[in-house]
Amino acid sequence: MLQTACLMAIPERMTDERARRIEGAGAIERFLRTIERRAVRMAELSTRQREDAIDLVQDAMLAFVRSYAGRAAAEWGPLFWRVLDSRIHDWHRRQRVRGRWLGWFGQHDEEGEDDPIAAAPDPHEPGPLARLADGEASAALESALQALPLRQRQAFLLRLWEGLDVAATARAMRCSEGSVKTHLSRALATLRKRLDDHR
Amino acid sequence: MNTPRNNEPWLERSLALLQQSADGLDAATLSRLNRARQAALAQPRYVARRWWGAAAACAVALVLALGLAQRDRMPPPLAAPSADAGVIDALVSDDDSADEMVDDLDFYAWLDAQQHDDEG
Repeated sequence: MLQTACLMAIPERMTDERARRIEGAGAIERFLRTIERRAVRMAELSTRQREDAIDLVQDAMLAFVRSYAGRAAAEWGPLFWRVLDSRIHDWHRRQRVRGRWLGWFGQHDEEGEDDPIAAAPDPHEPGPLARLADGEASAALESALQALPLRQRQAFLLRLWEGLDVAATARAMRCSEGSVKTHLSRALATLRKRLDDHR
Repeated sequence: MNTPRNNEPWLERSLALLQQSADGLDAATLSRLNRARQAALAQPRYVARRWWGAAAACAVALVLALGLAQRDRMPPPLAAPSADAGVIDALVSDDDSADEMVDDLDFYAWLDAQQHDDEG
């Protein structure tokens, strides 16, 4: 009797589960649609190449859906950025290894938090952001963001552009909340100096 | 957007420019992103794996329940055999000693008659 009831209940549960999955797939697709453009730009600021940036975002999407689709929708944001942040770090490691082998030293070490060259203002920087036309201002901003060490740039983009709170940013960057505040404070100081101090 | 220091004009402008650059991505990039998204959604997901795990657990539970039900329906074990039953078993069993006993029944009948004669 009990077994019959169990067997009768399975198709109904399957239908419910299927409906939930379809609804879930729609929610995940909507979520990915809302973040994919910012994800590409974030990756591109690190890689400086659009193709590599799209590849990283694609990898991040695959890993995110495979591992975290079952989580609550409220957790998706920090989890996706965490996956992408991890992919960006992997990309930089591969570049460093490749750079060692090729003897290519043109690109500075992104992990060097206290690199004075990275922190120094660019003499070709076009001037205060507020006075520039959009195209020039975008170029100045791009240049300033690319010159930031990776952790500072990620803290700035996740915390201020993506709008994650300090705890969520720390989860996405796999570091403490104190580290997030430090990275963000340094990033703001550097950017302010480059984009605002010429007024 | 949750920005702690967006009262600074350069920061406000920077964030606006960043968003502008994301909104203005070219069609080729958007097309590739669309394909990437569809590929990610088409792969087997954590939810599906969890469903198969639950189905397997349900199947194992069902098999166990059926096994227990079958065990309850089996007849009770037989009572211990009596001494007479042992003799009958010995007579009807297939071993060689029982066969010899049946073959020599005439001899045992003659032996019995001889014992009665001796007593009489």
